[in-house]
Amino acid sequence: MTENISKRILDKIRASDNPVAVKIFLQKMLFFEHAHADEPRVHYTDHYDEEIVICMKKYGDDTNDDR
Amino acid sequence: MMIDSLTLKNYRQYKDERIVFYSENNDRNFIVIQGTTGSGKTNILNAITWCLYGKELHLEKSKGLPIYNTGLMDELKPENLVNTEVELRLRDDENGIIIITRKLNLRKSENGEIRIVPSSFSNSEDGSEIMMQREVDRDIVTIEGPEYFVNMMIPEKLEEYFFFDGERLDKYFTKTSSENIQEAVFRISQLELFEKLISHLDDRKKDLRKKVCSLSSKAETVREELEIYEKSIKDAKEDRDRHVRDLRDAEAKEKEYSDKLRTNPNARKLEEEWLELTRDLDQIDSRIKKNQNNKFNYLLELTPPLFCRDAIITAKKKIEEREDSGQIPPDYKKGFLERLLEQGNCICGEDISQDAIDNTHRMEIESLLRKCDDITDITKELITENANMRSLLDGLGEFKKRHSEYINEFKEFEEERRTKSERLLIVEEDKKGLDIEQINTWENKLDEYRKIKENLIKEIAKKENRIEDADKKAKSLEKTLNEELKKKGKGEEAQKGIAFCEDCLKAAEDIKKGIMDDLRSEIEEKTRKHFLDLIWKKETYKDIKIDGDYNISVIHQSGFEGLGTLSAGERQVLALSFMAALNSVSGFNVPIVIDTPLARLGREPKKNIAKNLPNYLEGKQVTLLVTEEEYTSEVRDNLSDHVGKEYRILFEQKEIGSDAKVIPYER
Repeated sequence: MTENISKRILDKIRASDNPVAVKIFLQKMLFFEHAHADEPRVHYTDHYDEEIVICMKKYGDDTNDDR
Repeated sequence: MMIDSLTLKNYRQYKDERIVFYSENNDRNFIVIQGTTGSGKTNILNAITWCLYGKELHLEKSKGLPIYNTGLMDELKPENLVNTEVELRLRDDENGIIIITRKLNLRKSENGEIRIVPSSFSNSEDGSEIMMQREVDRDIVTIEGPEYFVNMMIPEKLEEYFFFDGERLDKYFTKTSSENIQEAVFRISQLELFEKLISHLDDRKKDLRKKVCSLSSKAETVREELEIYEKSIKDAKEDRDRHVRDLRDAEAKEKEYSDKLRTNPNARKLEEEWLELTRDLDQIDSRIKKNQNNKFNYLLELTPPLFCRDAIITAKKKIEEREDSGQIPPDYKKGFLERLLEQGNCICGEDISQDAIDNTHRMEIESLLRKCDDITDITKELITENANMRSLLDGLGEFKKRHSEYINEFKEFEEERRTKSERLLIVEEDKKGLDIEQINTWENKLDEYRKIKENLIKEIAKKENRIEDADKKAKSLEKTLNEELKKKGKGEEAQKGIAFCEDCLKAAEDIKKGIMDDLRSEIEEKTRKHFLDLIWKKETYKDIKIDGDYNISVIHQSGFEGLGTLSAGERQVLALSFMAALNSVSGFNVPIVIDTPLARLGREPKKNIAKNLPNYLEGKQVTLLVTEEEYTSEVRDNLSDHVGKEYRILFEQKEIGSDAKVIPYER
């Protein structure tokens, strides 16, 4: 992914009207997907589950006010 | 990034050639390599993609021929090893010189057969091996995982937007372009990472839901049903999208055939009129023939009495005189009178029996009977012939009238025939140059695509209804499921996880769509600018639009959509403009190689493109692989300020194999 495109995506995520936990999760997961882009069988399940648990902790607090 | 040089060893028609692309003068980023068809231009493009990805992605003309130089291999002694090798040196501001080398090991057997010896380190289908090195302060450092780095620099999926041929450009906007454009925007935006993220997140959401639902049997039943509906929605959406794509295809085809038929608007009418006229003329001919036959038969019947008219009149007159003088009695039949007397009843009803009170009537009949004895056969014949002659003379009296009727009818037919024949000549003249068979095929095709379109519209509506219906049911089931889980008060953590996944999924979908829309707008703007700069008909077109469904429109000055009526040259300019826009939006700093970019263009468009191409590919290194017909003096003059290297391919077909050399260009 070129810098041009990744910057666009990150800017779009940051500027979006979503809870911070969602924004963080999307950024982290995009980085994860990017890092493993060339691996045909990525074992993503555990990593996703871990990040969901981590981000969810914040998610409950900021769902309504911190966007 | 620029190509510094390309070295080809034992690669197709090249035995050992090094082509230097790099020019120290930054303003001269164009490289021109001129060669005749089949001399090896496209194989320069193939050598680059083979070196990068282990695949010759622009193979067509060379298909079937081996990758190695057959002439060189013929000279090789048996059991000797040799390589086919391509080395691509790239220059990058950040990384300096990067050397990518791909080798294919070959062995010649005793019987002269050439066999590939696959490398143990190969990740390519053909058994070739790639190596990547970087020049660092006069040292050469090997880079591990060359495939990964190559794909980071120039992804194979995007290769076609940097290394392409004019043939492909020509077809770019002739097919259903919206699909091509959407795919190009999707690929260039490199959003497949987002797709993976969405797919993985959706899997996690489903797993979480499964986990929560396993806590309650009712919830599990609802979840299972919900999954069925979700799958049904997904399938219906896929079907609908496929139908929408097919509909676009059908619409494009319908338009294509309508446009073709529009150039021959009266063809169908002319054909129908021609058929009607020929049918009418056949009928008139048949009526004329009948008229002539009837007239002939009539004359044949009347000619003898006509010639004997005077004799008939005389004979008739004489018979009548005999009758008047009583020499020829009236013709009463003897048998008839005898029967009347025998029956005793006259035809007038009078009693003529022998016992009749008044026998006067009987006596009159007996008198007639006696006279009958006197009628000879000749008299009988005279009486008959007199009647015949009267009839013949009556017929002769009508001759003039009947004859005129035949002649008038004939004249009417002839007049009608003349008028229709004259019209037929005009219609046939108008029909000249029209390929009626072709037009009929087009009309049938048009009908066919209209029917396909109508069916697809119905199918899409059906799928939409199904999606809407299943969506309502899925939402209702989701509500029931949530209520059920709340009631049970179990798996709160997992429920929160599901809600989080749903929020993330929605956000990811929105962001993906937002980026696609932004890129589409940017590509639209840049394509418009390039196209209006490049096009030679400055007064003809005023705008380019790419709508939300990725349909591209070329707006004519008078407001109508002109994509379907673009000439091959104009289409090529549109495709070049679109490619340049994609290139600029992608952010990839990759050199561009275009094979036969000007082959389908006339003199003026060629000149115009040569003049403007350097402006909108500013800063990019561009290699043009051209034929002699493309690289005219005008093109060369217009490009001259930007060309850093200029070559010609010298091609020689040998008894075994061929040999191509790349030499400096001299006109």
